[in-house]
Amino acid sequence: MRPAATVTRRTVLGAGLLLIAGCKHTRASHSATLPPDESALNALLADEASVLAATTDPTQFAMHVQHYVALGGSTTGYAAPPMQPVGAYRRLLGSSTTSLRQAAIDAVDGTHAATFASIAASHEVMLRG
Amino acid sequence: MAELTALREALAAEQAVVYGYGVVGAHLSGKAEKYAAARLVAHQELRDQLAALIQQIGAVPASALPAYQLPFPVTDAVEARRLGGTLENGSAGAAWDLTAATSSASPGRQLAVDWLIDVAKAAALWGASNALPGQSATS
Repeated sequence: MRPAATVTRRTVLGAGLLLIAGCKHTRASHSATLPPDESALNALLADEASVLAATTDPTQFAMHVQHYVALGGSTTGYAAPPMQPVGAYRRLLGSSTTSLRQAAIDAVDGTHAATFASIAASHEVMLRG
Repeated sequence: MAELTALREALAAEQAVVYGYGVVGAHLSGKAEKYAAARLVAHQELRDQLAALIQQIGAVPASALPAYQLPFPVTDAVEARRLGGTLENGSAGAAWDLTAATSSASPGRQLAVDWLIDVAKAAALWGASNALPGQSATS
């Protein structure tokens, strides 16, 4: 892939990221008793946003958008994460996969657990791809 | 009780997958046949782990049926590969359900999570990956 083409693709993907980051759901940090798995959801959502910011492959970008939405990212204002340096993608993908797997095992809510495990599985596929 | 029901359903799903992989392997050759054979063993081991969990709860695991209806006819290598992907995705659905039905950090939850990750990778190798492995339209 020529560098110019990569830059162009990252620019396009970055624009897509800004679009969805502007629509991120903000989770409340007001309660002393958080709902089940709330801290894990918040951390995993931030991880997924960082992975999105580092993605250069359009197909994988589309999948990460689905992951982001599945984790609750959706509707209200939020600052976009900083653009990640080229090459950070696989590192971020690997660390998020580890976090997702552990969160899936620990989750109190079964649907959260299955969602975390499914995203971990998808990330693992991308790592091996 | 929900966990036992999910374990029983997971076992039934894996028994069907094991049967299906016998069909997949019969229509492949070379590396693909070896991979199908490895997946057959992986699913047999998973089936046995599920049966063991059912026994630990104090229940009796059901036996496999003598034969299962395939989702489509398989007469060549192309259809065999497609069946491989279909089997792994079906297995991913069972893993999703078991993950959702088990309690935090339980042996069943740990098995289900690693199972889901494993079959997603296998589905991708058969050319059948998706963004949220195991999730059904109604999940």
